[in-house]
Amino acid sequence: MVTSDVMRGFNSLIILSILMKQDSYGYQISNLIKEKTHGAYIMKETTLYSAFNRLEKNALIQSYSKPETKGKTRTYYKITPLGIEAYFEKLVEWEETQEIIQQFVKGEK
Amino acid sequence: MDTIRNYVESVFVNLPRTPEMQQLKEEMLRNMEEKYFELLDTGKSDNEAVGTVLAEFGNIDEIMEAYDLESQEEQDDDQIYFSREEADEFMQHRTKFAMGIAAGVFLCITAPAVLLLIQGLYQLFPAWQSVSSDTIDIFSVVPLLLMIAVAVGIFVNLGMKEDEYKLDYRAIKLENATRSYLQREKQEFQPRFAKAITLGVVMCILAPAVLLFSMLFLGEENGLSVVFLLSFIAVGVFLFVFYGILYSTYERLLAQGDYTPEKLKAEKASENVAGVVFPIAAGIYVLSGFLFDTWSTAWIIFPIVGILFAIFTAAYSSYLTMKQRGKK
Repeated sequence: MVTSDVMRGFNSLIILSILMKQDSYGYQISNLIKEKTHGAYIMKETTLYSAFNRLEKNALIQSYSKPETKGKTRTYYKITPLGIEAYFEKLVEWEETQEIIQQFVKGEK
Repeated sequence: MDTIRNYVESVFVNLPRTPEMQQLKEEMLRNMEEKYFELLDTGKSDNEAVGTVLAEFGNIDEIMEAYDLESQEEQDDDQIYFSREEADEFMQHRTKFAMGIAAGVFLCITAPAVLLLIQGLYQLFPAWQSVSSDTIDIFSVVPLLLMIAVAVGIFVNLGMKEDEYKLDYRAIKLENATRSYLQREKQEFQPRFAKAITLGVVMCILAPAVLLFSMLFLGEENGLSVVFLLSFIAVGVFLFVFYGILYSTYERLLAQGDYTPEKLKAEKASENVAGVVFPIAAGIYVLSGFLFDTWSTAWIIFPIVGILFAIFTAAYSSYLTMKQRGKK
């Protein structure tokens, strides 16, 4: 189980990567994360929605409501061109981060 | 499912009730609901499902931070927050305030005593008889006026400083550390307060005894016995005022006694009501006096309104207190 402290910097990268493939909504995203990591990382409800808020404030994602069954609507999120740009930037950043950490812990196992 | 709903409601209760927050809450509730039913489908028990859903909710502080929110509690406008420094400063000001007001009251009581003292001495020493009584009158009235002038100056000055705090009718809110430290100070102050009040009461009871005693020696016509009476009363009242103000300052800071949010709210309301009710009563008295010549009987309206007003104040205050208790 990964601590949420360690993951803090990468939550937006994870969300952006999911939205790169298709538009999605809160529960689907948190489910995808849980499934893909086989339950090793579970994004908390509040973490997810504060990340949405930050990303939307920076215009990296855009929300829209979509009608669902029984007349209810759901808030969907869509990545913006700016968000795609930010995704690739963060990807590079992640690779650099990995390299840096690797320098210290290589072969220590 | 009710457990989950109640939990989310209770977490959102301190957040502003904006449409945005309402929507966020609904959205999160729906996610949690879906998660809950999926967990039940996988064969989890009700308790396990609820536990998992609640554990995966997270911390509302994250939301408040992301949305730049302040909790509702901090926005409450019938309370005002005091830091440790502000509380200390307020205490210092109130100590000066207490000393000033007590000294002013002391001067007002002793002012006529000084007048009587000078005139009493004039009668006592025949050697002074060469001075005309007019001169003595002037010399005894001037100190009286001076003392009252100083007292009024102190009252006005301190009253203006007190206004700077703009507390209005808001209760003071403290951090827990400041609160417990002030609570300790108040406990240490309590025995001193009790001693001072006791001494004040003793002085006031002794005052007429001293008056009677000195009349025995000086004769009934001499004003000096009144000087003794007034001096004892002045010391007693000084103690009441000084320690009374300090005590009420502790209560003010700790929001206890007459200074709880409910009591202050009731006081504010009763002041507003008084501003309307008493002028109306006076208007009715004057009007009915002119129209029906009821000058000698209609005054009854004043005690009646006064009593009704007192009943209203007491009832409203206890209503607010009960309501607050009900909430807790």
